[in-house]
Amino acid sequence: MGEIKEMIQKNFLTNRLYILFVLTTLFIQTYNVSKDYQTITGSFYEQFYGLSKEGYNLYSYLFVTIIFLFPVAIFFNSLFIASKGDIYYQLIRFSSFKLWFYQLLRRILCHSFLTISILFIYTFLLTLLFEFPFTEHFNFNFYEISYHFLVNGFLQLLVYHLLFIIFICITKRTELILLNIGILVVLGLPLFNSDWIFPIALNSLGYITGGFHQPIHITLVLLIYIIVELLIINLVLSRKLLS
Amino acid sequence: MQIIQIENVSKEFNKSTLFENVNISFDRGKIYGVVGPNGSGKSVLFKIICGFIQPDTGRLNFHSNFKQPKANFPNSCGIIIDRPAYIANKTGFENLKRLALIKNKISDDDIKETMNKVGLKWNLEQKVKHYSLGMKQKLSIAQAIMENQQLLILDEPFNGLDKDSVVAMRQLFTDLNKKEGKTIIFTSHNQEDIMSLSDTIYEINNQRISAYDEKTT
Repeated sequence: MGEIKEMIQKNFLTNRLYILFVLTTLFIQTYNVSKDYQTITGSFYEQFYGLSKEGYNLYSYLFVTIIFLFPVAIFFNSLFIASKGDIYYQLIRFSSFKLWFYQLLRRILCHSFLTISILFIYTFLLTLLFEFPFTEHFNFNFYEISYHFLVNGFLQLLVYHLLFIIFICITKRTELILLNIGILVVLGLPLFNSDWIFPIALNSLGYITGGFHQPIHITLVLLIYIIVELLIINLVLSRKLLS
Repeated sequence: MQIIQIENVSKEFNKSTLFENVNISFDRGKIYGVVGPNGSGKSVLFKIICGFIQPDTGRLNFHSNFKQPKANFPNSCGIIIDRPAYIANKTGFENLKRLALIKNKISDDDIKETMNKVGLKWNLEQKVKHYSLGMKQKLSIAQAIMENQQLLILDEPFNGLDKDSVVAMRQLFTDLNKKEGKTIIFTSHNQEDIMSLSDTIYEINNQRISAYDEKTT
């Protein structure tokens, strides 16, 4: 049973599987972009629509949450599970949990930056491959899309990373990463999250239309969530509950 | 010189009491064997000493050379906790290098020398997932000693080792202690390991930890 679990964790949560998923789904989606959105900005908008205050499409919501949650899960999988208890041997080389966390935070920042950059570049290259024009849409422009995708996408990834750390601190179970994803996906559904109580999929490009939310407003919300998460982690580490 | 003093430490784990009001100490330059039945809390005691788990009551006092006042973990401490730990798809050298980079105070040559000391070939291209249990154990020992750590806390360091390797590791630990003055605290289920290496033996029994055999060396 333990071997099966290990096999599932190893094979299911690998970078290769995620990269294959991203490459194929984004390619297929770009190929199938609706006629009205066959522009560079339109393609980004339709593929990463996710949800908005105006409504949501379940497929798009699941796509946006999974495509941003899975790299975080893979990151923690390699950090805690694939390293087979190596965490003790890392910790003892720092003088405190906080120093260990700062080092982890640096890695999280790099990981988030790389992930969002690669997603952006790949999606952009696909629009060039399919020769989509650089036409602006009437209700959003390229800069707005780029800002929301890159800045809020980066902050959303940070939020997810920190949520995973809090989840691991609370449950003290590193192998429940998939359960964590499931909980976050469900909590992010508009049914439970109409007032942004849970910071899930706030980087959905759907939020930039309809005039309900400016990307900068979402940036501020995400920053507040990050500060709150850092305060919680700081509290947990100060009280030495991480064991 | 006393480097660790454990004062009135109690710990419950999974709703059962492991220790109650434990008072023991560890002196610099000695080897301590810790014995006790399975589940008696040897590993928990080691995790408490390392700072990974907090005691329910009581406190640990470290000599200032071994732990800064606000630190969570002792410094210059090499450990083996729970089991050999490694990144399965990296080589032994890559695993050690990855850990060494955290403090970044030893060179690749130091790592290679340590691997030779424990009987591992540093240039072996084999991934650790293909290592035998004994080789993984040697890798764990290597990471515990490679940075010239002064305090070694080793949970079952002889597990999985063949007879010759056990003899070699005993000699290695003796040299580290006698020639380099390192303090070693270790557990083993093998009475011979305990008796041949330890200056002092602590026994965990009935929620108490006490020295039951003081040997002169």
